[in-house]
Amino acid sequence: MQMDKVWYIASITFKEGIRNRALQGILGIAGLLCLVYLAVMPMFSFERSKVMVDLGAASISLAGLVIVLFLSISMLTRDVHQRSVCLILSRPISRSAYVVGKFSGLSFMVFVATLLVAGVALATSYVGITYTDSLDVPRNFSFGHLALVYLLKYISLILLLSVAFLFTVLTTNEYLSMLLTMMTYFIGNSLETIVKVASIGSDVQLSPIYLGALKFFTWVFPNLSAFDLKIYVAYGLEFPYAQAAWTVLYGGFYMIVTLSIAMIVFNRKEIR
Amino acid sequence: MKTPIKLNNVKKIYPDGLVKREILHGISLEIQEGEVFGFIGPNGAGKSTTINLLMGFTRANGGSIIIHDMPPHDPDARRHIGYLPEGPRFYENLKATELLRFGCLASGMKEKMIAGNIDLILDKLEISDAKKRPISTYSKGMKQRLGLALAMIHNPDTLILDEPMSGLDPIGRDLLKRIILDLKQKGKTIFFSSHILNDVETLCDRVGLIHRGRILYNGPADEFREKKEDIDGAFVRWIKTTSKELDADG
Repeated sequence: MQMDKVWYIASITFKEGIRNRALQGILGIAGLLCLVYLAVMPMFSFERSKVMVDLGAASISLAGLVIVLFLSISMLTRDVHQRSVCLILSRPISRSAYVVGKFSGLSFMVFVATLLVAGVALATSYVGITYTDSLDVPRNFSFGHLALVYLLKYISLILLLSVAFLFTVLTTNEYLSMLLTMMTYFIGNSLETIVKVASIGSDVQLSPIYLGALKFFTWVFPNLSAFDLKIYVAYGLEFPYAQAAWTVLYGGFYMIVTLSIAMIVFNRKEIR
Repeated sequence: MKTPIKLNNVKKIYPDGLVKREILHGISLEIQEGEVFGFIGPNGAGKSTTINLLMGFTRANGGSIIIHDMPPHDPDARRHIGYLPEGPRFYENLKATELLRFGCLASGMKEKMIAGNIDLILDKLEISDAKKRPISTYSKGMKQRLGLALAMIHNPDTLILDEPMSGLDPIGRDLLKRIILDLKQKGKTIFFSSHILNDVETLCDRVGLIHRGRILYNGPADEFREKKEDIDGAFVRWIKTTSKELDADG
């Protein structure tokens, strides 16, 4: 792998993305959302800490999802389908280096965006806890754990980004890529819940084969709900470090597989 | 003498709905070192398809292509090549200096040479005043000049230029002609496609005429037209005569 070339591509991708006015608008709205919940908090009579954690994570999810679905896919489409990639591939750069470089640049852009929104969310939570009496802090609450929740949220976003990358090189159309990525997002967030409901068996009875197939697909589609550990922080439960570590490993493995397929497809793609 | 660009019986087929359409019917060309080669033909003749094959953006369905003794999809083949696409598209939030810096680094230039080279090329193409502005603020002509700067920044041996004159005003065209003549004097090999036949006649040693995916003429620029015939007239004559023959062949 041409690591120096990967770095150059990541660098221009990041600069191109971070200067995009749409990104600045998205971050502005997400930051504003975090601030608004200070005003919203007193309207809740119970479980205020859960509302605090939920709203912070929701702001990150919203900003990240819009960045992945619209900004990143649009940048990738301009490259792959409108030939801006020619300015990169006309240099002695392999297509695999392009895939890794572009993904790294976009991931770093999402990282900076997540960091900014998470920073505002953490600051707002701190202000809420320290300076207002509206927040009942759960036992075992830790800002470190909250930061870990946000970190897992970020990993789930770049996992979705890798899927978006694959769909963009597979399809010939920006909207199709967005649609498929959005479907993957919804399936990834809801399939595990469906499996849980079906496994309990009190409401629905499924054949073991069908249930086994559903469990299998929970992990074949990216299991994005596995990255959602905010409930542990919101209710002050013991943080499941082992589960978090396994989830990060799963995410990393999934991204490697997805990007490897994207590389194979992109190496064969005709850019005309 | 070396032959930096060789195409031998190259075929290219694109799917067109359910059928397959042959775009290039076994074309062969050899461009010698230090030569300026003008690739001309009507719209849809196969000029850009040929250039995409030379750059390794697409793969031939038959025949062989050699660029500096390497197949075009080998990234190292592009070490010696500068490429200007038709209507170049850039990362528009970058500045010209950032884009050119990327071009230098990606081509393996040494850090200490980069800044000087960037200033020199921007001066040469008369866009140094705009070097700190985002590319999104550039006019079409300025983008074309920036595309040329990016193609030339790493001092390649061979330049492949797809419609380099498009989008340029007469001043820009004059500047580009002077640059191509300067590169020719320095012994660079230049392969360019164009619709502006007078420029082709002025600049090129040899001309290749392509029509419906077939090379109709490949030879000295001054032998392309008959005496008392202008180059536009010669172009139309070649195309009309061959179209009739191709239609008759079915």
